[in-house]
Amino acid sequence: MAGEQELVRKAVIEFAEREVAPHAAEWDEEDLCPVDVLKQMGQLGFLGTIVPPEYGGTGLGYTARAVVLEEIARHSAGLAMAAMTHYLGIEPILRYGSEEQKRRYLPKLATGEWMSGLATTEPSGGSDLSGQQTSAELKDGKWVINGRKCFITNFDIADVCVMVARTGTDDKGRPELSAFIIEKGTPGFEQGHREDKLGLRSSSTGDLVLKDVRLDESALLGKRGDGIKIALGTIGEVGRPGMAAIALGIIKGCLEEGVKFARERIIYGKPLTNVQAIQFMIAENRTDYDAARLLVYNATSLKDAGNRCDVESSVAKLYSTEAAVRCAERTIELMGGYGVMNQYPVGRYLRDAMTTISAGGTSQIMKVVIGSDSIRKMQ
Amino acid sequence: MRIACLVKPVPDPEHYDRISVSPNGTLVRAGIPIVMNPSDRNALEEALKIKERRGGDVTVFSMAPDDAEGVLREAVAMGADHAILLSDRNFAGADTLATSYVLAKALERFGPFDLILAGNESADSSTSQVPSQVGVWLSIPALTGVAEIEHNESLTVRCSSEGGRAVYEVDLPVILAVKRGINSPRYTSFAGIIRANKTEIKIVRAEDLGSDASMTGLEGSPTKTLKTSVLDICRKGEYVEGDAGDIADRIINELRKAGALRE
Amino acid sequence: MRRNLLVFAEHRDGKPLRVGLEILSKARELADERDFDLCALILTDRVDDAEALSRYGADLICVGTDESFGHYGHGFIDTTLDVVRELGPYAFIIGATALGSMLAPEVAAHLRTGLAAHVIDYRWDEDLIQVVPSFGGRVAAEIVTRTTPRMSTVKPGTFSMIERRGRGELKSVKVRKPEQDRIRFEGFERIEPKGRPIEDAGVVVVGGGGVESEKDWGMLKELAELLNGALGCTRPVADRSWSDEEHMVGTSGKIVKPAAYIGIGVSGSAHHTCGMKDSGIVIAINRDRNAPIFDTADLRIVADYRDVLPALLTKLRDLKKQA
Repeated sequence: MAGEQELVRKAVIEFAEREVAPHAAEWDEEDLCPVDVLKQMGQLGFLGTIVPPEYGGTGLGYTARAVVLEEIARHSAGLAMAAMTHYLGIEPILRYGSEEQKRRYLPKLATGEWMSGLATTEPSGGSDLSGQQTSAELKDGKWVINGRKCFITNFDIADVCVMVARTGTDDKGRPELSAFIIEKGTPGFEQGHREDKLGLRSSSTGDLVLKDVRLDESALLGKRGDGIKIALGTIGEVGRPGMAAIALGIIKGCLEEGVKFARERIIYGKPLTNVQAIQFMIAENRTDYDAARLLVYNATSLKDAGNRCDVESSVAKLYSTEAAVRCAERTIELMGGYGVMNQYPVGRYLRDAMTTISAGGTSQIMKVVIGSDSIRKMQ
Repeated sequence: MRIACLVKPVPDPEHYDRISVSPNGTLVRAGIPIVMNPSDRNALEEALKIKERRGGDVTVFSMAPDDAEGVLREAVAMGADHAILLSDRNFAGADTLATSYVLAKALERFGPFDLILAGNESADSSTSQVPSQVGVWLSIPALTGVAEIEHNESLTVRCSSEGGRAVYEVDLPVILAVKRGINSPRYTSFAGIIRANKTEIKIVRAEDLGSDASMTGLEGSPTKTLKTSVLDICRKGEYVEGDAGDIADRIINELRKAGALRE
Repeated sequence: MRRNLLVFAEHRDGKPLRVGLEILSKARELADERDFDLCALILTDRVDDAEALSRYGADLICVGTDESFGHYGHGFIDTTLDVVRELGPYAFIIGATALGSMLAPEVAAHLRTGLAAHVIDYRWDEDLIQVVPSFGGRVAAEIVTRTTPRMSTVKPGTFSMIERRGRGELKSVKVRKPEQDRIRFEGFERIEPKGRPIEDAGVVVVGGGGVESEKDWGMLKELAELLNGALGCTRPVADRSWSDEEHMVGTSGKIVKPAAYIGIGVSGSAHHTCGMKDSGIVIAINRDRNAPIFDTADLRIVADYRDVLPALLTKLRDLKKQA
């Protein structure tokens, strides 16, 4: 509903301008993830749009989620990253969880009472899931898990994580991967090294270490062997459009900050907006914004309508994240010497934009997805 | 406790510098979005706080054209239970007396209410008159400039006044006009938005209200606007830029010329 | 009774408030043009010298004293209504103080008459033209009232006090008090102002939403002190609690007319400029060349205040040392 979307966006903008914008630079500088702000967002329903009302969410859907991520990322892409990743813990429980698992986790996650994350990447790589080393063995009715996950966003603030481990080998000798739900405080499940990232710094990223972690059989998410499907489905249809929405917010920031600066800055006695070369840069930012917005909301609308959106999500992510880098560079150029001064936020936007490219699969991976789909369809 | 809250849709006060007057004397405010009057948001927040503590319900009233529905929906999204839009061609062009008459009629029709809250002033006309005048029509006391409400058995109300605050003990029912500093309005939650979309915004016409046509709108307004014009307060200024030290010297010089520098 | 204009002259601690004298001064001019009498109404708990109002043109001074008139209550309304009904004034003007703002709309509604808010100018045409600001002062509207009395309110500082003799006859008013008032005054809590009042200062420094931190606010404070001036603010600053509404300039704040106004990080919304437009020299410092404040400024400094203020403060400190 158009009126509903409008109210959703207005509500997020009002929140972001008052609670996020004034602190974003400080969170970035101190590399601090503001958990209290995430909790506040949770209470307002910003973290539970995809959870249906019977599990404590609002059921507003994936487009509403993208609106949240865009408008939060407009001021702090790092905070939006933490919120984005929280949804990556929700989605698999929502799609594959048993009734008991849904009842236990979704109401707490939808309101931000508990935070979550998704732990798939290992030192051996992210997109290559078949190389997973973390193992889970069923012994005396308990899953015993050993291994290490790395580059896990929300690793320290997540109260519950969905993780993937190798549970055996299938008939063809390929690794069998399964997904598990694991709660913070489980003996043997510990936080490792915290990364110092280039951008998206108001989200925390680090290692999770599993040493003889024993989980009940009921911690298995979906069926044995569903691990790849769960991980790829979540990343492909929720993670990538999420990253695209964050990049979209960064582009919006570039567009708005660029215009603001050009209006204020006087050169040869006239505001910078009078210079046609500057108008062109603003036009390019605007075009990138409009294009990215159409791609992002195209993908989320498909998802809301119950359709596949993996390829469309890859298209949106490829375009938006690269456009965000372009726009940030362009805006820095527009601002001249001021562009590289940290009193202006655009330097941060560039670092954030560059960081969105690798999260959820690099541009090359996006092109593999898009390319193979195109070749298959256009035979 | 039944609480009523009066809200007014106003052109967004952030954009009043864009208002102009056309050659034929009508006000041009195209492109300026309509928002809930800022201090009415505080009134609603106060109403919701009192409801949360003492139970009851909150009904928002607005006298405005049909397209003001969005502002009432926003009020429901914030937490109001019911919304009533008083919209009729006959209500148009009302001054504060005619406006307060219609609001009072509606408060009677859908009342009685124990407490009526309103913003202290609207951003567009800033008269601060309507709440007090509603009180007169309803024969209930009114206080304006309210900076704090303590709700015990009766209400203790602090009104800002020159140099401090006057403290009053008031019996219900009462109408209070609150200042912006009284609280910080809550954010709209997504649950509220969903509820707002399911809530009916009741549109009430003059005939539903049984209002006397000679008391409403232009006809019921004892004041008449003859002419509006953009107030020209422009000066012939000079732009100064450059070195901070030179600018500082220039400022000191100008202050000296204006006799504002005691040396 | 001769045709007359009536002015409510609010008193505090036995003395008239300036706003009442300002209105009397303006009303005297209006009364002279039409050969009206000028009446003043004092309702207070104590009055030191009621006749003093004749210095600002009052011909008839109606005085009602009662201990309950030290604060707002319904006795004010009932007694005022009696006086208005007896005098039958052509117009009735009340200062827009906290008390006046409660009294005026109630009296107007009881009399079913019109009330023009915060008049900035009066003029006789066929009828009394009342000029009021709207849209925060961006727009001026000329209003006439079709009923009698033509009621209006005026904000403090709008008109100048001008001494001019009136006859100064005194008349006492019968005080009416409700047996049981549904609003009961419990006391007055004095609030220490955050800094010197801005109304009478020769120099007013105003900080706006563009002032970025409380530390920067300290620079503005020092500037106001070095200039022997007062520090005012706009709405965003009052919201951040660095200052308060007592120091806010504009439609919902105070009207100021200092010899020099310095606006720092003030964008210049109509709500604000309405309260400072009559200042002597207006100096504005803003990074945004398109900031509306520059339209109202004589000296339009397009710069970051964080560059300008340190330089200005240093020079002013040096000047002070030399003196």
